[in-house]
Amino acid sequence: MANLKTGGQTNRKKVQVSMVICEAEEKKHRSGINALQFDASLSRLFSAGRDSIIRVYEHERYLQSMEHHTDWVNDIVLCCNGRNLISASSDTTVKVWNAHKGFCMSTLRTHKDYVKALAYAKDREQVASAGLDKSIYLWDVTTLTALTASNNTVTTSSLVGNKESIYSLAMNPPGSVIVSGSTEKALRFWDPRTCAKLFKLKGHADNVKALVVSRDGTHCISGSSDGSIRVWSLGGQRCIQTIRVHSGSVWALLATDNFQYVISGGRDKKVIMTELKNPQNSIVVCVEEAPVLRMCFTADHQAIWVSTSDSNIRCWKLPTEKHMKDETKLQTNPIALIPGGAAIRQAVVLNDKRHIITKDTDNNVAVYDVLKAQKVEDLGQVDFQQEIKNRFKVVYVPNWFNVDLKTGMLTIHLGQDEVDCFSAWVSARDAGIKDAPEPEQKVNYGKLLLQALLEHWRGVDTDPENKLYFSVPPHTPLIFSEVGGRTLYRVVVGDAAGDTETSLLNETVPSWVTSNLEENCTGKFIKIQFYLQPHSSVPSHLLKQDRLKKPDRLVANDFIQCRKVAEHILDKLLGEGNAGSPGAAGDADSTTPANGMTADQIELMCNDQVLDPSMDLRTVKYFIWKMSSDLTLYYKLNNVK
Amino acid sequence: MYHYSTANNSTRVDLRLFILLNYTCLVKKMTVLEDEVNYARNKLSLKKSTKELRNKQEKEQHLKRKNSNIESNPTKKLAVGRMLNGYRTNENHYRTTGDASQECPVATLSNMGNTCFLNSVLYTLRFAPTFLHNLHHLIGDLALVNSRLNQNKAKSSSLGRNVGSISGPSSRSTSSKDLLSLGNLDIIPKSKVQVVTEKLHELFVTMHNLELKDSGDPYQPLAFLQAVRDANYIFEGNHQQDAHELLVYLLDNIRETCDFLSQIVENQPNLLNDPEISQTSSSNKLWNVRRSWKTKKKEKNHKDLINEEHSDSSTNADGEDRTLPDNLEKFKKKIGYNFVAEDFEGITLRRTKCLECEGITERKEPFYDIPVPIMINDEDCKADPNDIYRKACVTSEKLCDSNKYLCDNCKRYNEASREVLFEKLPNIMVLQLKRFTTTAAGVQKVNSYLPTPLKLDCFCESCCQLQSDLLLHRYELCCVIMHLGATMASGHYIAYVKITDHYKNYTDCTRDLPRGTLSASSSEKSLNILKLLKPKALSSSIIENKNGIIASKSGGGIGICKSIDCCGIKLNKNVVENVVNSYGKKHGTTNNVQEDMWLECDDDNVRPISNKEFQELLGYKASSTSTPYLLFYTKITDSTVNE
Repeated sequence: MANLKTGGQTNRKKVQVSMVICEAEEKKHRSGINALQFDASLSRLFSAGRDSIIRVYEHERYLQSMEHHTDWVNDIVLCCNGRNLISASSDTTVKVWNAHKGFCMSTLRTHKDYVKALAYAKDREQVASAGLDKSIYLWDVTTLTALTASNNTVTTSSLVGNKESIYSLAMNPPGSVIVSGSTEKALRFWDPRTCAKLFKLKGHADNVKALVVSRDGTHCISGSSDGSIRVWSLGGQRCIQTIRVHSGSVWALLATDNFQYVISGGRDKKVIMTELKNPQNSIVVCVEEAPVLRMCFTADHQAIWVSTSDSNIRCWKLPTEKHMKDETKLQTNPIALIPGGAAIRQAVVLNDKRHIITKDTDNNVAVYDVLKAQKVEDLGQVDFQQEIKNRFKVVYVPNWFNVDLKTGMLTIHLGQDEVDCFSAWVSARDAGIKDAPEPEQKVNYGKLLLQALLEHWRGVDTDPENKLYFSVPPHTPLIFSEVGGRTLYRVVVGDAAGDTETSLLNETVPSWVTSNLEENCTGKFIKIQFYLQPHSSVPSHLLKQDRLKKPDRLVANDFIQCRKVAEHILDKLLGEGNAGSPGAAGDADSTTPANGMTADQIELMCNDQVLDPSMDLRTVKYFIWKMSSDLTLYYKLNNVK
Repeated sequence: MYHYSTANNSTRVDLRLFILLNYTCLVKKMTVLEDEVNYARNKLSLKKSTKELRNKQEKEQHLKRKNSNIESNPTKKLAVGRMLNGYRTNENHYRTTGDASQECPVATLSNMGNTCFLNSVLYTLRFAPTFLHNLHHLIGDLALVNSRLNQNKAKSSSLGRNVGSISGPSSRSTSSKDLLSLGNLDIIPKSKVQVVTEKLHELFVTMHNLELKDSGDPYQPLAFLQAVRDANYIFEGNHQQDAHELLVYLLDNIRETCDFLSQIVENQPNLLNDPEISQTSSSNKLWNVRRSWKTKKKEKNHKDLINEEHSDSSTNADGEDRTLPDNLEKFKKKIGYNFVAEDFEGITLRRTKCLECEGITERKEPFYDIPVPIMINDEDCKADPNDIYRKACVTSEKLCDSNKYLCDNCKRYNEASREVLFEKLPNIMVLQLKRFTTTAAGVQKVNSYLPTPLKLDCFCESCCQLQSDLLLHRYELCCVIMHLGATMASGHYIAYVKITDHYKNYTDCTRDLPRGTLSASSSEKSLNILKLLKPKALSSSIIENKNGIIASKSGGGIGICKSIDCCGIKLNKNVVENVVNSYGKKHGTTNNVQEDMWLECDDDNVRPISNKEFQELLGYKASSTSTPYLLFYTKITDSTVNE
């Protein structure tokens, strides 16, 4: 229970706001597929993606996506004769779905860490979930499916005794025995009917990642990261066979109904079928292109669907008895293929802190606009590093978000602490806002994005200060979660106006978001300190007397441009030698500069480099000054008569 | 010359002149020697065995030593006397400890008030295998490079070409150790780091001298302490200090000095490539011949080498080519040879495995000592000491819960297992027992017992991978620094060092080239002086070796580095033998010749103890507050296992 740091339970954790940049319909898996389920009656294949989406294929054609998780979906089970689907995810939740229509019915938030495995006892309609929080919970499926918004409590029994993170779980269809595999390397058994601990079996030398229990509950097969498959007699409480057919970890197991054959897949990308009574009799079913994560039988049990850590799902014919004897050659082509898409593997935020350049598993390079939450350019298979160089601009904008690639899509986390999402101020012109009343007016990127994300929830804002300049696609998922932890709420931007959604958002949207949206968050301006000194070439008679003595230490907003500084110099620092006190100069509303000079004649220098008047101070500091100490600028006069 | 030797109240300037004069004598002699060798080499046909040549060289060296001894004998009193004079007045305070000091087998260091931390580390380093020898060459190189730098500077300040040869020796003499305080005479000021390293060597030279004199008077390492304090503020003031901190600091210091040297040689490749070197090309040739002989010998007689890895790498570095430029290249490599890295540095391997994709990432990091946590559990202490230390050092942990691992392959935070292994353990392994824990009540001392085995199994990865009991390497305890006292605030350090045959450290020294021309440091000079002072040092500087291998070697005069007569340990074997005998009588046991002996170094009180006594001392005693703190183990590579 004490998995997450204590204190988090009592003190409300800081809430993080995130969004996912994705297409309106993500028909293809973006990344690996952790689990498969096949509904024979409708010929539907369910696949649980690492891109957080469960997809449904009917006759191998994409039917629909089941989107509600916010992290890897690690396991799924079909229950109630295919009516319902239960899923487990690294967002720490277990979700109950209407499998036919594909919507999420309820979410179980009992687990405290990634939920890694599910087990299903068909005869009793019972599901067990387990994960890295070391706990196993037993769920009554009929109760779960009856949950509504008002009747939302469910009792669960937990199986205790595990000391380490659970990576695999299995139950026999009658629900008389349940087994868990963990980094403890031992198998632990319980009776799910009584929740009584039965025994534990040792033998594996590493994590146990796959388990199968025979229907009668007398035998169990386990696959481990130690590379071996072990067959256990539960009656004898011992290992009766060790099968070593893989050259790496065993990650997936499937047993034929009569427990005659075991089909195994693993990190060595191979799927191997082995006769349990005679382990020498084993045959490679196929060699995949990536480590095998899961397998499931087709309707006739003559073939298997195989999922791997890349996004394709292939169907391979199983060898017949004849094949097993004759050692026919390896099949090279699958009998069916559901092609997957590419996952984004690299992402670099450009200097404008608005565009992200990405490279995916197909080596395609693309550019995304965070403010618009969409892809803006497809560059194809170009040189990624070169493209980054080409797009380098000498401009500095503070970080205001983090990028996460765990789902193979861009997940943008708006920062709060070191990376404050309200730190990036740019001029409306630089932000590309054409109809802004004042092009030099500053806008805040974080605020613009939050406004767009919450547009439908907040309704139309009448305050012209908060005019909405950008919109994000309505399909964009908006996620609220505890910092570095569990998901609290996920909603699609376009749905936020719904009654249920509105009330849930009212509860969830953290105050740091609402308060900053309502006020103009100008208190969030970042200040920069700098010194102004005349260059040696500046004739001293042009300077006000007191300016000769010490350099001016000034404070300004970090987005102030050099032109503004030049105007300040003209205004305050230059004057006839006999011009009065600085106070008087400051008070004077003399917009006409002294000596008939203009700001264009003032040249600013930093580290012997002449500064562009449109360059802002933070850019000068980060790209030219390159030190953490206070910036020093020199000024010089051109064309002085 | 005689004039100076009789002047009792000689000033610093006098001494400098004296050294200068003495130096020129040496140079002259060296040149002669070179000529001889050159001649000999030309005469010798290639067929003639290199061994003969070697013998001849040895004879010549011996002769040289003898000659110089005669010549510089009158200066002996001056040199030694002066060093003691400065401290004689203070000494009376410490004589109160009684006559015990008379029987000290080695030179002793007196406590100058809370300086047992310093003394214990100094004793330990002095007895740490190969340390003295390597330090000596480092100082030589340092002086050489400094003098070259100064020379170059002098030249570049347009003093004319000829001035170089004249100003050469004099500029060197300004870098004399005795004139360090007159740092402004140095054209290039020395870094404090360098000064500490040099002072350390000087201290060891002084101790060597005291041993030659059979003086039982404790010595105050004041100059060294001052240099340390100047260089690092944490040692300022008369406070108690952590011996470990000092050790780490000193090793860092030496490492930095080595790096400084190699950097200079790298940045100024021509530094060593000046006329003087070309003049001495003959000596380089000589050196080559000797080395080629040695390579041959090595092939045949592989296991005679003690510091096998060390010598292997050095000969390998020497390469096969015999051309002069290449030779210079090798010579440069030698300068700044980082022996601290070589002997004290190990490499940890941090291996992280993501439990999702099971991909493994490895990161290697160098280390200089291994912190060993003290297990409070008494049960654990009954386990095999080898297991205790292996388990304490080779660790594995699981990264989970809120401490997950960001896997670069999965692009997310996953559980992971992380192991810390040792890819390489150093030749001299320092184990620091974590005896000080920070609690709410402040820093407290953990007095729990942890066994200190005399022999320890190696736990580097290659050894751990082996299924058999035959390990590639083993470790033997060579030094222990004990902390005495129940708390951190009050305590005392005592060092225990194993009496070993230090001759081994000096055999087959690849650096044993004709130094006189190449190096010109004050310390180098002083070593030469000392060498001249003690002609029979060669035979008497260590206890006669029991099994005779080394003894015969030394009798044949094969490759004993001269530096043994500069700063080497000269043990008073009579004192040790007396103890061995008396112990044998007391316990009625026949004296086992193979039995190791140890020295208990408690500031100015150093006494030999038998292995048995030492083991009793290390054994478990209920609620004892005398606890081993730093353990020094030397690596023994078993050649039979390797084959």
